[in-house]
Amino acid sequence: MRITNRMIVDDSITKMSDSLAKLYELQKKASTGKKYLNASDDPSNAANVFTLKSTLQVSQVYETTTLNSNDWMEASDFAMQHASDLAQKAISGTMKGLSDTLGPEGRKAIAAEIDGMLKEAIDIANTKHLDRYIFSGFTTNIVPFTTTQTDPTDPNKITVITYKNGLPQTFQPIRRDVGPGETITVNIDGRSTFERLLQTFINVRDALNANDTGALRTEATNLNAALNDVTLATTINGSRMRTLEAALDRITKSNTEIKSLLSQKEEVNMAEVSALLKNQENIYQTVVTISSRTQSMMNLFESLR
Amino acid sequence: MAGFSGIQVALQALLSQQTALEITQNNVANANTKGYHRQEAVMKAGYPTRSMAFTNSSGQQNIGTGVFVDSIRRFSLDFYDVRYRNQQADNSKFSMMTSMLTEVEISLSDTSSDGIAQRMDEFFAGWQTVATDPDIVALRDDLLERTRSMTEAFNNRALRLVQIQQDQDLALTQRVDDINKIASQIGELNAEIGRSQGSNTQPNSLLDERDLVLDQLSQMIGITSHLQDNGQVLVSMQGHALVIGTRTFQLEATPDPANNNMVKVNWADDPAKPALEIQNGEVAGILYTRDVVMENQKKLLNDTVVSMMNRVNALHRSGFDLDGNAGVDLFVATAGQEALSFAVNPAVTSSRMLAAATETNAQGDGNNALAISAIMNSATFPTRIPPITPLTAAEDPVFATGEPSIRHFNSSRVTSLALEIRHAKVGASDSENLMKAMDEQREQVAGVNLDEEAANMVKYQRAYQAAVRLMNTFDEMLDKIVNELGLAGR
Repeated sequence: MRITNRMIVDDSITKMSDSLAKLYELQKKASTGKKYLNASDDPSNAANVFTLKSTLQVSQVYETTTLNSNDWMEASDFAMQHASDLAQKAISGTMKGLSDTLGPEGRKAIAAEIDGMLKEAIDIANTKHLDRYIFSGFTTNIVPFTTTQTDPTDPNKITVITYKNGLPQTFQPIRRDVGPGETITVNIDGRSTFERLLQTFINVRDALNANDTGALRTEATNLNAALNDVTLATTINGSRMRTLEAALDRITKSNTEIKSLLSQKEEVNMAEVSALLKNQENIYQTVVTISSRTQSMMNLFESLR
Repeated sequence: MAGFSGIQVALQALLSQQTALEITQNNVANANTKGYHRQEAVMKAGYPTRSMAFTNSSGQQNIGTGVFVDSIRRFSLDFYDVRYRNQQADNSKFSMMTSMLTEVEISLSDTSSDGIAQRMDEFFAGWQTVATDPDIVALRDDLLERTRSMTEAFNNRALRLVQIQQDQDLALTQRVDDINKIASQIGELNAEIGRSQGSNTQPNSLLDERDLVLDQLSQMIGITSHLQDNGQVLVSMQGHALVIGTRTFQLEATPDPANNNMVKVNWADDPAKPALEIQNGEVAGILYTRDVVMENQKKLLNDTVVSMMNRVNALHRSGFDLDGNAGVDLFVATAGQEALSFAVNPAVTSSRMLAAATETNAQGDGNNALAISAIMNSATFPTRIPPITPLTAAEDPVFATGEPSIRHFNSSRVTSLALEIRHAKVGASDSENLMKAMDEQREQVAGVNLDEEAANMVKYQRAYQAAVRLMNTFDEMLDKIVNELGLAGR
């Protein structure tokens, strides 16, 4: 093979730039810590990373949703515990009212106590969480229980309780996504939970005021049923909270996993890169040294005398 | 040998060696000249003449008349030239594609943290967040902002694609001008080479120049060249002559109404002006990238926008906003330029108008928002009263491709671009290796080796010196005859 001087020069230039290009690639990896900068550097990996990133984004929203829902449900739980305490207090008040030793005055005193409880219970049923009524279905901006005073002798006396006046009475479940295809209802039906309790409070108060022990006896049964309503709702809410807790646990775990997968796919192994970089540096040095030697070689012209 | 011819032979040797030395000198001088082909003096022994002789019985004998330079040989192999040019045309196509596509990839910046995928994810996650607390206005404001930045991301990418296409359009026009200039240059060189060949001398430097411009031409566009008997080269492209002898045929870059008025390349003499399908060279690289890859990216971006717009709009219209009003279209876009004109409906003036609820006057209802956040991955609408009309294939091109998920559709767009770049890069490096190998073959034959030239120099120098000595000898011999003969008896 005939070798010309240009071939030697061209070849060493090519080899040097090849080697430098590899060095540059490694340097980019080392300085950015990323396996690739553009999708074209690693198309299939890039597609995977895209999917993982979207999954992570969605999953992070699930995490926030779960946490927010938990707050909402804790507020509901707190309200219902409070309502059930009131119901129990009302039951013992009613029992006292049924006692034969008590006179009409005594019953009126209990009635006043029950009236206080009624007002408290209305406040509970109209609980707000982050400025939203939690027992009002979809209409979180509308107060669920409104009161009417029809007694001309006592304008402060609540006589009628109305649930969402003029609005749909059926339960409007607020559902939230806590996982792919996994929804959870966060709210409790205000009507089935509180309506009987509030109405019974009115009835008990009125029976006590009227000194009507017969009616009071009936209402005592109703009060028990109302307590059951609240307890049932509390139980449902409690079991949902447990589901939510499990979901949160799962989401957190899966987020961690996705993040570690992402870093596996996106980030370089620094130890490996720096070893490769060192190696490539040596190769480059060698290529440069060889090139400098071949190019500074004397040719025949210089040796001739 | 007749007495005085010895001096003539010596003189011819002297002159021939001198010529050979001059050629060597020229080789050394052009050791690094691009396109230079090494030359060599082709020496021939002079034709013998009959001379009177006394050494054999016939009284005659043939003796050579020395040496002369018959021609100056130019080392070249047409075969490698043609192969080299083919590889070069291939390589320049792929290199052009690589550089253009890399620009496209950088402009689209799909892997960056503000890529389209990220913006879309943020948009749908925004709906998911609003679904959680549809009655918190701050979340809605955030969602509206995300919606705007997503539409801007699409506008921006589409605009950059159009700009790159326009830049390349200009580059294409310039290339066509260059090709025409080179074609006329080849025509002129053909004319001069034809003339010199007629006078029986080798126009080596003209041949070098013509080879060089042919190399340049093949870099721009794939050509076929054929060397004719008269020394002129015939250049053709897809069966149509570009240069015949001294005549050239011009290419033209004309705006093509069928292709957004971007230029096409056609023969100027063809009245119908059909676009040429150029397979090789930089021009082919530009055409392929501009008309196939970038158009495809634009189309995929538009498809993404159309599907997203129609899916979201249909659901959005079925819902109710924070004030209990029925939802309006969330997005608007101009047909045919969806990605470029994608925008939030100007009628949506506040985030309260985002229709998150499925029922009127239901502030806490986020079911529609939830449905919208899910529509990215599904083409079926949830049951509504009245039911939402399913989208047609034209309204939902993403689903028409058999891919329900807009997210996947987008990542396959990115992957398809990445694979095109991959393909171009591999093609460029493969053809570069072949091209280098071809160039090496060419260089092996045509290149200058300085050691060789040094050796030749010494060779010719010694021969020159010997010829001088020879002439001296004859001179002395003649001196004897002229000055010393016939002096007897003086």
